[in-house]
Amino acid sequence: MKKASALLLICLAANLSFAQTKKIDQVNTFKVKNSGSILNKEKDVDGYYFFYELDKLKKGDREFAIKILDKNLTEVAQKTYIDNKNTFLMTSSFNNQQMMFALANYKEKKITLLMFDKKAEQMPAIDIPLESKEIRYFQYLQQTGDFNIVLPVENKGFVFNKLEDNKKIGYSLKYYPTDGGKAWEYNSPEESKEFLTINPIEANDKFVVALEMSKSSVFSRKITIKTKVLDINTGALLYEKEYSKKSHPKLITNAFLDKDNNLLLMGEYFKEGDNIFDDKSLGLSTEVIDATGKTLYENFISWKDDVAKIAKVDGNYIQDKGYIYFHNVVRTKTNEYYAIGEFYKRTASASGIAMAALGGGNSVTQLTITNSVVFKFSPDFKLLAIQEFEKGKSRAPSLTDFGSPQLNAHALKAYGAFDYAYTQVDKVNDRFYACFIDYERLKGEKNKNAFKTIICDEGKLTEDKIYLESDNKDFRVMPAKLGNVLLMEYDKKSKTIDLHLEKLNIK
Amino acid sequence: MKKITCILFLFLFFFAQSQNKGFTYTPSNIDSLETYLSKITVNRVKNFDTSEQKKAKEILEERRISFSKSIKDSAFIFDPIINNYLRDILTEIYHANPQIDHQDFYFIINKSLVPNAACYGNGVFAVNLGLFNLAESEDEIASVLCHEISHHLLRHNDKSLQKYIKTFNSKEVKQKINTATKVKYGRRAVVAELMKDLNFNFMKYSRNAEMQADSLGLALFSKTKYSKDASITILKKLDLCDGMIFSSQTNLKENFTFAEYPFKENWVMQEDKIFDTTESVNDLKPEKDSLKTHPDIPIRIETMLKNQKLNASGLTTSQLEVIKKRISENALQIYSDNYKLDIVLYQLLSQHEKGLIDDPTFNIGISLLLKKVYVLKETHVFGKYVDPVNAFSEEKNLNEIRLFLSNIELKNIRKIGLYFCQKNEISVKENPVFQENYAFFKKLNQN
Repeated sequence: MKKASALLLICLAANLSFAQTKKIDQVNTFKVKNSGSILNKEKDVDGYYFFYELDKLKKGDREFAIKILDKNLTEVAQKTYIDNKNTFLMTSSFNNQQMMFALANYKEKKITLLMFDKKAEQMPAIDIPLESKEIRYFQYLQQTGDFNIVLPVENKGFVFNKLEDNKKIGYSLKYYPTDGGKAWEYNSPEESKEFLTINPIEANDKFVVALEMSKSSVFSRKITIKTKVLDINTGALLYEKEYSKKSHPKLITNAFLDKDNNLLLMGEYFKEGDNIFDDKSLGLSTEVIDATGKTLYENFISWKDDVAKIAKVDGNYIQDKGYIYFHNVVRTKTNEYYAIGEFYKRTASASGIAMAALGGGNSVTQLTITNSVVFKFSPDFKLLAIQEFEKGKSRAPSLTDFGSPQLNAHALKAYGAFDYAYTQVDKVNDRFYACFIDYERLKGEKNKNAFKTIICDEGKLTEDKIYLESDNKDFRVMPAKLGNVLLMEYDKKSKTIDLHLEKLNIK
Repeated sequence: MKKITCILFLFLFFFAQSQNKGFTYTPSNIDSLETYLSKITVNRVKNFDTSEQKKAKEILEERRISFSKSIKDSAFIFDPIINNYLRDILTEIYHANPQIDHQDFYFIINKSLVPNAACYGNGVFAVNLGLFNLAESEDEIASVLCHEISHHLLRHNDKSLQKYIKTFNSKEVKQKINTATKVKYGRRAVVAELMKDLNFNFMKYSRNAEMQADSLGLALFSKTKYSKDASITILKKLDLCDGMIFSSQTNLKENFTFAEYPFKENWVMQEDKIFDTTESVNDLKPEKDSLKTHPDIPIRIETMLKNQKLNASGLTTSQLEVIKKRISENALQIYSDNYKLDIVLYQLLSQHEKGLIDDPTFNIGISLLLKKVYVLKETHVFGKYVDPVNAFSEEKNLNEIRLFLSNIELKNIRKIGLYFCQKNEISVKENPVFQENYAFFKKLNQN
């Protein structure tokens, strides 16, 4: 139920102390093209950006401005930038040394990496040319939401993830150092007959961890996942682990590098020979791998036995409660793990059936998304507890009536069908904040959108709630600095926007 | 006078709980005040050339409505003690300068604690409460009043408005605007350049007007019984005011550490900055000097000293002391009513530290503040009222307080509130406000 608030942000030029005429007003009224949070790897907010067009220039060029606010909403910079009219801001990132903005222009087939140093001075821009095919896949993969175009490496550099128009589709991980180190690229083989994509998910001052997906075609349901670990300073492949239909089928969702540089992978596991897209998972798995690629430890928690026992469900947990889509896994200082997810079930869709009966091609099933749920695991990955948090039902039509509900869930995740918004990890206070936007159906009053946060503090899970409804006001929620949320209140009457940071409350 | 971002450094605090001490925000004669405002607005329009009257009427009417709204929104206070005090000073100025036609003058007190005064150009003048706090003598206040009256006598507001209307009605500017707005490419830069030129001219005019008002103001002031030196001392104070803002010690940690619940360093831990700059880096910002409405104070002082021989200084009268005390008694309430809890906490801590407020007042004030912070945070509206930390602010102590208020969580406030009340219960045992706050925190800690 993510609310897509169409907020029209009007920025008036700050240098106008006399707004005398309508003409001048109009010239200096700018529409924001993009805005968003500047996030680090932990989804902690370092600031906010507003990207807007200032002026029309010759030869199809535009003068753009990027306004940067810090995490406390103080404007720290407003930088101008000239580029073609079709330029848009894809993403931003901050690694403690530099701020990076990835600006794309699909018409001119290029991505520009714009970086600013700690003095807010612009560094030489990096242009990355794109092929038409690469653009198509970029657009497709960005929709999935789980595709990191830029991964910041704290105090080291940035990893840029580019698709390559090889024989089929390949990738190129490009590393841009900010600490005076060496730039490198790690590319998939040009002649590969596979459809190869990669997603860098974790990095520290020694390694980059990326998940490589290979399929014979885009629509193929046979997938092989490889976890690749590269040297952050050279880009050399240190080791890789393969999970395929034949060998340990797993759907890896999270990776952590610990202080000993061991890699911990978490995800769902499947029966040998099963397809992760078509078949039902057997449960959750974890694997610890050392710096040489040797598996030190592997653990499995089955839905049927382990989860059902803790949840005190007779029979099959999944049949009783529904499937769970895990959005994130958080590790605490004491090495306990919390997996954050939402329940979903495939149910019949009344409108889908009606439309199908009328000859429409609609899906007759839908996914019904219900409560959020948190699984707690011990350091050796034993399931300790399950806690549910009530949430209203939301429904999304199945993309296909065939295939597993998991496949549908993964596909629907890309369309924002789930209520999950994001998770922030507070390492200092050993907490996490898992945020959802729920549409509450209330008895005797108007239904309301609510921003709900499950907070884990001192091992206890509590929930905080902020209603996002008010007369004449439109709300938008954005991530904020740890433990806070940014509320953007748009007053429809006065056409003003009120931005305020609010603490998420631990009850 | 000088427009200042903030506030009070000579601030005595006695947190007034009793209603009879409070200020009144509604004038007893609101209807006649409205009639007066309408009348002076109509009269003022007549000062303009026929060709300018339509535009002038439009602007002046807009200003009248906005002013009336400010009165209704409680921006001004109506206090007989302060009004009488002001009236006495004005009587002296008018007596010494019989040529001043003050029949249509109306002085109003703005509740703002920023030391400032304003001339609206239609006969209405506003004096901020902050000016009474900053001034150390009646003479200094009289000097500021003479400066503002001079703006009126020199018709600076009307001339400025005329200049504005003339500029934008002139064929040349109209053509420039038309040309600029019709530019197909690079329009913003062309308009920005045009605005820069226009702004520069307006600001230059404004700075010249200030120098003129200083000069005439000093001439009017010289005829009064007041010490001429006051015109320099008050300017110096206004200049210094910026550097003295929120510079008092607060001892935040000492006040909020308890044996059962020590102060946590992460409540005031400095946050990482995106850029290592001391101010916002803005590619679109025009040069600072071109935006100044007032000349630098040292230049104004130098000019005034050149023109007049000044010596001797004024003395604080007992009447001004009464006014200052009265403002002090109400200042916390003004901030508290506006939920400016960061400033309330700063004032409570710094004034208690200086011994300017007694223990019971301090303890009641803090317990009430903690309760308010708790309620605002619980309902997720705290950020609407209390400003977050500003990375570029030089107000270090206030910034630390903002950091503290922003970082403390409900569970912290529950404990801080309880232990604070527990520790200080003896000094304010009988006070019902304190007891109510104590009970509030006791109840929160039961769960």
